[in-house]
Amino acid sequence: MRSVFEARNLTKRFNGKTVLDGINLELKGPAIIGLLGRNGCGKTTLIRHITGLYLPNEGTATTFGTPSEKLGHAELVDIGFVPQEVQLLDWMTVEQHLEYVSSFYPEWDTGRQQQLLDSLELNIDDLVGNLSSGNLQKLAIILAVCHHPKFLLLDEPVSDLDPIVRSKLLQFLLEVLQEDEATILISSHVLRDVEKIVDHVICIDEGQVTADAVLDDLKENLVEWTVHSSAGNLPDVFSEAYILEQEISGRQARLVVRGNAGELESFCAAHSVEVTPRPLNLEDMFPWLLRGGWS
Amino acid sequence: MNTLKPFFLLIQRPLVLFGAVGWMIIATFLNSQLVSKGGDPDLFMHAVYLTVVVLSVYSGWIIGSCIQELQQTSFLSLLPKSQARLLPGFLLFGSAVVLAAVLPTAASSPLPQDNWMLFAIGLGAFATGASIRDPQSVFLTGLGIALFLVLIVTSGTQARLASDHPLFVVFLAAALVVMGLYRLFSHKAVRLRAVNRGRPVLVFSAEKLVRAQKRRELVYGPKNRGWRQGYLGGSIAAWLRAAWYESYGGHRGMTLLKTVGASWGVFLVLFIEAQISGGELGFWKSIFWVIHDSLMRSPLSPLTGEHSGAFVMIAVFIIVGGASMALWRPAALSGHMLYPLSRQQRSAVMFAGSFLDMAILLFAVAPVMYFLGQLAGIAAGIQPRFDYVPLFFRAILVTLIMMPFAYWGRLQMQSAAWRRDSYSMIGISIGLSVFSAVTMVLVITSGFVFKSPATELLVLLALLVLSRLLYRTCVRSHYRTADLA
Repeated sequence: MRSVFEARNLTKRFNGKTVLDGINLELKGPAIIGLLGRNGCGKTTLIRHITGLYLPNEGTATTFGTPSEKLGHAELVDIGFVPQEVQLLDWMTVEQHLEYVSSFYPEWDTGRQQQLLDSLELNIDDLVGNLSSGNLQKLAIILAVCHHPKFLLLDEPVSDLDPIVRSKLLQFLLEVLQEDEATILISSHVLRDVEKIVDHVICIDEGQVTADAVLDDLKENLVEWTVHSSAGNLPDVFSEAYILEQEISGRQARLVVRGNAGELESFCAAHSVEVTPRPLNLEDMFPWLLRGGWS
Repeated sequence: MNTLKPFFLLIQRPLVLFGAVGWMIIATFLNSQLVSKGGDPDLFMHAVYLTVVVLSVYSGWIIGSCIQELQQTSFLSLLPKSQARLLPGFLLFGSAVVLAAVLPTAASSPLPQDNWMLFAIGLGAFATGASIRDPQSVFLTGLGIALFLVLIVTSGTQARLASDHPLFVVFLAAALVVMGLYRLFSHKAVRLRAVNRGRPVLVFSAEKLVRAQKRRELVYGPKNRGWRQGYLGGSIAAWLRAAWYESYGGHRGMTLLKTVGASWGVFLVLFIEAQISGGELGFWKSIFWVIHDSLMRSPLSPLTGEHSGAFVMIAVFIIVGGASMALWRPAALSGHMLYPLSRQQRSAVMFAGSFLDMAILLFAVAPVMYFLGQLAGIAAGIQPRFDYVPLFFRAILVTLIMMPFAYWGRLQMQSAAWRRDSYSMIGISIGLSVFSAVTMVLVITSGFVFKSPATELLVLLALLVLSRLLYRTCVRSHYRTADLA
């Protein structure tokens, strides 16, 4: 694993409002990393620091070992970027835009370009200014991946895509990971999609990193128990410290617990109950990731 | 109050613009003071009618555009009784603006006049301005512009009509108000706007015409699609070529000439024709002239010969051309894309792009303006004349000196903090007004201050070098420290 981005005490303020508050973070690849957080939590701001478009007020942000203010040709040709708000040169046709952007890079994979154009069903003769927001997003994705970037930044790349295209895109990202050994940072609110492909999850809330962990570890750490008692009603409240959330109704209960399987047997013995454990999915986990109460 | 509050909440954005053009009212007042102390009373009447009409049309245009923009948002168009809530505020605001234009001029009038008549004309002009920029109908917009031109070239006739046939003038003004209100608030118009969305809050924009021109060429001229550049590499020259391509499309010079002709030339010819054939427009030079007249009347005298206003107008259009290039569409790389260029390289491209603009102004905009100006003069029966060449040259030089300030303003507006709010277009509008006014005043002052053309040329060239050096320092500093895109 190599480090592609590192933030040390990274702070960013806009008009006195702190958006990133002393973040410490290291991204290593090749991997697909999910960047999660609520609206306005600083995901886009962090991504823009990685590209060098934003500069920190305090601390440092380094991409490929170079500080963000000094990022040059050598580093930027290895970055692919799909911004949240896609703004391209709308007077060009799709074909012309592809031709134009391809001239920025020493290598451009026309085979990959054609494959994506076909797969995403984008017409090269359409004017960029006439594209729907979904098609604009497709074009931005093609523009970001045909130079085989080592670090691909996707800021809400699937928000305007239909489920079929979304599925194709996620499959394609896995191929990119394998073929280019790239690090892919994907920020999205469609957590069910993200969950299918990410290895690692970073969660930001109120300008701070609240979770930075491997997805499998998270799934081991946050588990849902379905509790059933044959002997009679369950107590009104379970007092075990590892229980994060509980919904109790008669003989049934749903608990969200933090910890390992070792607690399960002692819990069953203590309360004379049967428990069916199930790992939480990313969407269920999300509130706990924000609160930082998962570890 | 509850009825009016939503209107003022919704239009708080354009109110900033009114603050910026408040000087027009002050200038009008100063102007009327000067004229009343020894000016020709007939000219004064022209000035009064012209000022009221221009100011009212301009105010109506801004407010009307904002209302149309609001009507195009699906959010507002679906609100219950939204139009009924906009209407009273619109009428109240229009009345206030027209009163603000009428009262200062009327207060110092050396002639007896009917202020209510003037108020009615102003209200008609306000309503005309409000509906002039309706993107739904090119024909009606054309009609509105024609009406505006008629209003400004017939200020004397309006004054005579108001005195001889007051009822007819009031009827005409009322008809204009009803027509304007119908175009703004009728159910059909509102529904159309909600369906066909657009952004009418765009002041006269060269960029829009450039884009339309480029689109046409790309759609209808496949041969022109040629971006024939391989890998750009790290050369600033190659990236400069990319910046040119982003700004002006294909590489044919004709694109540029067509753009210049379409964006500024047509208006220039119309204005000159209106001035020369109007006859009764002796007083009228331009909005900038009104300011200038107010602040420094005497330096004008060397330039105010027969028909000189038309030629001065060419200089004004060169200045507006320069401001437009710097503020709307400089030869620069788009701020929205992540280019594989370091911040230092981007600053170099940005700075070098300003020289491309300089070349375009010198070798395309100025000659086209001059040629069209002479052509319009010939059409109006004036022999081609060359004694105004120094004026044009001075206008070009001062514009080039001032352009870096416009670039700098635009760079600041592009910054992340500015882009997040919706004031950028207003900022550009204010920038254009201030840039044009200040540059025009400097052009005239320069001609007045320096008696020797050689000294003037040397000083202006030195200022040109200085302003470019200053700009280079500022651009470097910006790209070293600012958030981009």
